[in-house]
Amino acid sequence: MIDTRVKSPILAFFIRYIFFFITIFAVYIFLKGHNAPGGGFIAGIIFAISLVILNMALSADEMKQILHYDPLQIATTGLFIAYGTAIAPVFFGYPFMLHKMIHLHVPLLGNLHVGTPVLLDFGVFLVVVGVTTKMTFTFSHSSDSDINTLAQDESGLSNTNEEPVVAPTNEQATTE
Amino acid sequence: MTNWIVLPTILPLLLGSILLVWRTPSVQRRWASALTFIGLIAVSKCLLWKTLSEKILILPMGGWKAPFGIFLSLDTLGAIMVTLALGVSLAALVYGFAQQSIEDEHPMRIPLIFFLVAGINLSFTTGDFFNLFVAFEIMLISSYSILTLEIKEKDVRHALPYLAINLIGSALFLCAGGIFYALFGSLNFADIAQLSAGYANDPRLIVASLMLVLIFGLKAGFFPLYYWMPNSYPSLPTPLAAIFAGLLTKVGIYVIIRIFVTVLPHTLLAPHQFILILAVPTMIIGILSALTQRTIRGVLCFNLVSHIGFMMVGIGILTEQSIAASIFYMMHHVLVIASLFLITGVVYRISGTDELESGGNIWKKAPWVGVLFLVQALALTGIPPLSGFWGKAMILQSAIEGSHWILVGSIVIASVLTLLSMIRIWFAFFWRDNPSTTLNLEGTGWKWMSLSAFALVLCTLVIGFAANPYIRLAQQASSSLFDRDLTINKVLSSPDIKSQSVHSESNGGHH
Amino acid sequence: MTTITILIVGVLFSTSVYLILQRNIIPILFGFSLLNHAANIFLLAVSGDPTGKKAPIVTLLGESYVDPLPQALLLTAIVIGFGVTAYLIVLLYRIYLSHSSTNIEDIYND
Repeated sequence: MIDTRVKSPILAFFIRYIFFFITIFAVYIFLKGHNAPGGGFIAGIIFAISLVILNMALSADEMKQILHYDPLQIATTGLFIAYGTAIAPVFFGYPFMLHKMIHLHVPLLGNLHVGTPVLLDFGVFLVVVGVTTKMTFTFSHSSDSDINTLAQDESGLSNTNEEPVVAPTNEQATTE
Repeated sequence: MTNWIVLPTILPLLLGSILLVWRTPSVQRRWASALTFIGLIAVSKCLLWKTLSEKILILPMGGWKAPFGIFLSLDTLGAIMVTLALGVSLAALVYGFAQQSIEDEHPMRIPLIFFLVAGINLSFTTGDFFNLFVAFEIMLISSYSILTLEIKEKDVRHALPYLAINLIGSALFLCAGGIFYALFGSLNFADIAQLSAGYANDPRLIVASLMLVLIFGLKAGFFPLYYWMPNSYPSLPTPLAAIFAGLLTKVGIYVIIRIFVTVLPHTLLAPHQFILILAVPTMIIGILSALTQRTIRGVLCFNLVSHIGFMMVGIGILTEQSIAASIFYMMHHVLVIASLFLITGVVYRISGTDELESGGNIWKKAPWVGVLFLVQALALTGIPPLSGFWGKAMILQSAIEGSHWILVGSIVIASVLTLLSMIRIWFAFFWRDNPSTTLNLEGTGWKWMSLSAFALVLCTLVIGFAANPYIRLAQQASSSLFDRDLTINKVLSSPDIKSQSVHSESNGGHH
Repeated sequence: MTTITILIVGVLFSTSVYLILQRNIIPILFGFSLLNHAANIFLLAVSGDPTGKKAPIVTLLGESYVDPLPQALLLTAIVIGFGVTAYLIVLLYRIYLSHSSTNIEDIYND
């Protein structure tokens, strides 16, 4: 893992194991969602939590390298997967959002029932990961060291006439 | 079973998501969004034509049989509202293109308009209570984002009351949904219509229905709940204010009509009396507040509140004629108020100011804008033969037939005072010669802006001068709303597509 | 059990109303969060009883199940509330940045 300007060495050391375990847990919750409490939403939140904890240990540029895609692009990919799964039955003459279940008998594992709800849930998973990551990173990268990366990301989403909003200094701010 | 019902919802969602990644503002992006809207208007007109012959179109989502599945149902009223929503959004979109150059355009504006329209269309076509909640939330979250997207620094604080009151409305919507599920065991509109026949005196149902009046009255702008509207609507850019004023309030009125006419029993008197009692202060206090405003937008917002009161009268009386009157008034009002907002945007562009004290000279320099405003102001007031006259005549007729003399009196007073408020704007901005203001008439931007407003004015003139087909359309929509047995039979006897498709594959194989 | 749940819902609603009416904007944020929680638990408490409901579940004789529909509604409501709360946080932060004060009376009196 890339290691520069780490704020807390303990967190930087443990983050690999924490990230691994939380991600495995998220995948488990995602896959059992069809027949038990779980599913795309909560799996997305859990995976986003692991990314947020990773973000606490690393800087914005390193997170960009690890995440490799803009969070909004992850979210829109998930949206398109969900739309595709919902619209596909229309082209075969069935009503909107009809799901196909496949019942297989695998020799060692037993009976498997999988189907297109998993695809829709995967789209939801990606949307939740992308949106939560975007929200958290926007706040956490607004500190002084990472603000240039943030400004670069936000320039595609904002008007050319807009100016960044500046935080008030300590004399101006009044909190009660 | 027709899959076309879902197209007005899914296509804006799809295109909005595409525009989220295709971010840099360009001409192709604008053309893509305008063409999508034009295609959708064509589809919705075909759907409207189909509902006139088939009375109600059903789509069981996922193929599940009623009452397990979520149904999308489109009848004449829903098709009318979808067409109006798409038409007004297209006019506002084109107005926005003319108003801002490509460099100044915010990349998120068009995707958010698409998401808003998707939420509005889903709430017009849904047949299930919780799907309505989801549609409302899509619409509301898009409207929160649109409100604060291009807001000026001094107006950011006005977004919080709008957000707060809609959050409370959403929480109450959940509670009302829970009460409905506990009472009836299902959230399908047709199923509740069948099961709620004997529940008219049940206090739980009365509580739930009064909660629904509160929630959708919050959205529509009923009497004590409209204070968020005149603070937040003037801070929007003009085309978005036109969409908000024209469509978001009407979604509340549409849902009230749908639930109280088609779903709940008609002998449930408490919510209708409540609506009638609230209609009088909505009309009177709304228009009196409009007379004290100092900006054009403020006058129009309070006029909007006051005219919601007219529709409330039609809903509260609850006969077939009065609901038809409300539907026709809704059709006329969506077009008139949206075009008035667009025209005041042109006025703001020409004069550089929104205040009534510092305007003037427009009739001399740009008379066509004055003609547009005059036509719409007279239509709003109800001068024959424009569309407002037919709407007000129908509402007055149903109020007189029901012997609600206080309502008749307040309708007449509110109409006269509407004329007074419109005269104020006309005199302040158009008719008088104000030597201290100069008009900025350069460029062709304002001409294209007034062209998109002119398109809406043309629709209003058509409804006004050729009123008979539209009155008959409203009456047909109303009669199919009152015909619950048809809805119930069509929804509850839909075939079980899911089991057919599951049984068609044998064990262990797949297509 | 249902009595305790309804009492909890009442406490949550009243606490959220008290918080929303506070002067500082941070309690307003928590108030709206609690309001969403209260509505969610109300939804579950009112409609959680599976007798008489027609959920399409195949059960063996003697087995009992919990009605899954309110839980599905609740999940959707929680996710929607999560999105709106995130927006509310950013809006309150923006209001704080433009007025340099977290006091409602300073912000809305001009």
